[in-house]
Amino acid sequence: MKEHASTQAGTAVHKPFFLWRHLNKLRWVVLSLVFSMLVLLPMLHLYQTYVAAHAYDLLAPSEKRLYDAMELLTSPFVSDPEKQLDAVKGTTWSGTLFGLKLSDPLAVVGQMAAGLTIYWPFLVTALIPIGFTVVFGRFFCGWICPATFLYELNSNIAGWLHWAGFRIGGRRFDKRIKYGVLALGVVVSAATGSIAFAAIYPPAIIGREIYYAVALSGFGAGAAFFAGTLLFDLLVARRGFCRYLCPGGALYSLLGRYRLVRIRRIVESCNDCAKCNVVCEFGLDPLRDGFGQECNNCTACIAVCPTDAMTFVLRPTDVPPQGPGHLGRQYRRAMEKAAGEAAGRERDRGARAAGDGESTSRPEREEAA
Amino acid sequence: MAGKVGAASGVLRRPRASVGALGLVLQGLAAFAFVLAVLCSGARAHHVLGRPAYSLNEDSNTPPAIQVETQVGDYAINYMIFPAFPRPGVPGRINFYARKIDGSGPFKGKVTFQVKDNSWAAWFGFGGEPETLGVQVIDDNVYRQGFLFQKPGDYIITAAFKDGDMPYVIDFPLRIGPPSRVGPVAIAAGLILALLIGVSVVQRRRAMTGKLRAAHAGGGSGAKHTGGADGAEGEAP
Amino acid sequence: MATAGERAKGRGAGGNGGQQSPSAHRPPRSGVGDEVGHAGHPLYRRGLLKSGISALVLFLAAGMPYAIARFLAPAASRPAPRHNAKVSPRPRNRMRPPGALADDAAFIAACIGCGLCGEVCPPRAIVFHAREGGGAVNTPYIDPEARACTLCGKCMPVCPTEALTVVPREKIDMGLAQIDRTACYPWVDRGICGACVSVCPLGERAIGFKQWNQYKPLVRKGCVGCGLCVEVCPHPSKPIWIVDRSEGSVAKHSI
Repeated sequence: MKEHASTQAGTAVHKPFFLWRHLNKLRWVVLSLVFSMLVLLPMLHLYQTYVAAHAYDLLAPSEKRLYDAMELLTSPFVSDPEKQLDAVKGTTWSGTLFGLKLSDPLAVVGQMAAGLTIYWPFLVTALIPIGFTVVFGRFFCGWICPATFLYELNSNIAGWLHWAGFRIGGRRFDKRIKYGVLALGVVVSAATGSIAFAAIYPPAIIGREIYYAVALSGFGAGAAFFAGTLLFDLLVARRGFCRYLCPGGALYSLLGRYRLVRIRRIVESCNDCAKCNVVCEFGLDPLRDGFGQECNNCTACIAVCPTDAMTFVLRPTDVPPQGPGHLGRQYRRAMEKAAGEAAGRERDRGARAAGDGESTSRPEREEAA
Repeated sequence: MAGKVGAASGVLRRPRASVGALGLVLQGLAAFAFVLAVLCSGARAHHVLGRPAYSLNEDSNTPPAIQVETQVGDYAINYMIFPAFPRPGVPGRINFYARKIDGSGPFKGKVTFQVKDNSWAAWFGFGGEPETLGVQVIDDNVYRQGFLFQKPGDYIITAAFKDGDMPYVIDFPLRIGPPSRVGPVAIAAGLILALLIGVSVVQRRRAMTGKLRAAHAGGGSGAKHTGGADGAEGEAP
Repeated sequence: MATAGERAKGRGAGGNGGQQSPSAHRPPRSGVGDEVGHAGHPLYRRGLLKSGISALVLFLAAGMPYAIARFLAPAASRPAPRHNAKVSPRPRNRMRPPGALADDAAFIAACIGCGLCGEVCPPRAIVFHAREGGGAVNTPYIDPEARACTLCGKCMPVCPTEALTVVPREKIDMGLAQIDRTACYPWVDRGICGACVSVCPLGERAIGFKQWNQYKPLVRKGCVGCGLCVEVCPHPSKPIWIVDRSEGSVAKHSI
């Protein structure tokens, strides 16, 4: 009955802030920026090398082109490229951003497990990401991760293939597998003394492999592994690696379980169209208020919602299931039914019927039992 | 196909061209032999192949482009290609040492050098036939083969000889001209990325339709508020 | 499984009068099925067994990527010894970058494989173990024959972990250069060279000539093993290489 109280309290149908449905575009911009930075940084590094060696005249034509392009790109911002371009270095796994050292919390966990020690200076580099994760949940997975950029495109491909008639990628597994991967990774790291996560964690692989490919000329074994995960996502389970296997996602889910900023459905505006469930990359259930700790605040459901029924709220837990959306057919029928039943008694209908309609069958089941 | 082969055979100008530049090569060999004679008393010495000569033109000692020490069958093979950065239109040479691993001295027969295209086209069968660079006899324990390429590219040099009935064939890659920066894997990665982005942008509506259909086909995301277990598989603990 | 399905079906039918619940097609999950005091019930035991098996499968599945990676990676293998390996200790052309932890196992445990040291390395001498590295995959190394360290020191401050710590240039210990006197040109009286001495960034305290006007190089105590001498050595068989400090020896005398 509690849910009624909350629904009742918010009888005034509040619309989400109008910019929030554009956050998904911003997210794509951020994802593309992160990815292109990962491609650009090794090139900038090559450019730095050439500058340091005063080697322009000795460069091959292709290297000269790279030099010219990077010079064109950076000359408005730096006067001493050899030194100043060190300001941004690294990948999302660990890197320097204008003097600020940032590391992936998973790297810290892995290093602590592998070394069986806590190295405080390294732990400190992960504090900012951890803090953001506690507030925003699994935001890294939706907003930063360079693998997400490719995985989401891949998921579009899967949708397109489905449109074209290929019935693939529909499997679902247990989402708790990834917590097992996280635990196993910690155990393996501790047992072998080398960081097992680095070998299977897609963002680390992406950052590393792009660097290898551009600066050291040649992909490593990680690229093959990543291609395998792309195929797995395409053929077996949509976003399968992120949903079921990614140890980083598991860690962020745990850290962001009681995140403050979360998405919530406004039941009064919802018409049960279920598009939110369709676009949800992580297979969550926004339609039935089932966000849970896995939600990465990617805002795809906000952007797709035709009736503006998704919004951000500040609260540490999800709202309890609110039943069918008030603009939907199911709710209307329940209302009509309730109205018919309550025709004898007068003026005793409303949200109560909505809440106790056939929608929430749990109490009925308990009765049946 | 035939045209490609023809073009490929035009790419390489070998022994005849080298014969055309016979004087040059002979001069080079003479200079090389002189240096060898001065510096090497023993037959098994390294033939002063490095930089101490302090002269980096192709007739003198330069660092090798590749130097491979390997063992094939009964023979220890040392194989070098000069100059350090082979370029089209610049004569270069191959030095080939084959010595018995049991210590009974160098191989003393004839060695046939061949070249074939190793470019992308060749992978798909458009590389043309391998062509013979020349057949060399031993000269001061070394088999030397000159070459002159007119076009940059990736080639494979094959050295073949026969010890009794046992044939030996050794392949070595040779890059003429500046290295290409984009390798096959990078091309594949670029294609995949282009495909991913292209389809996502151009076919976004269809992709969305496909996702909707997939969701409806797979169930679990239907609009019914049935509560409970539906769609909640593997709920987080 | 049939009994479980029947039970659930019975519930569904009794509960909401034909309104089919999807849970009818699934074994009951906790919260719906066997939650109330069925400790000794066979279904409960079966649930235990099932969750145990699924935990095991989960564990194995989770380990698969790593197992595959380990299976594909051969044990860390050093290059085959050279023909002159008898003359002196094994060549070490997989040196850790400057400031690395001395114990290699500790180094591998501390290194997170982020690649930052390679990314700032101006000569791009720092490269990374791929599959051939086995457990050391993604950790940095320097192959002085390919590209040697210039002792610029940029890699040490960027390392986020303690794998590389900042040490002064003279205290870097990557190894010690060793010279094969049976092959080095001046030592076998086949000309003058001196490339190694002239390139050495540490100068006289690391490597010098045996005597005036005699271009026979001698390694001294100050050598930190940067490998520049290996990179420039013109001899095709590289009669100079880097070994662990404990395995090498330096000239006892100097001019």
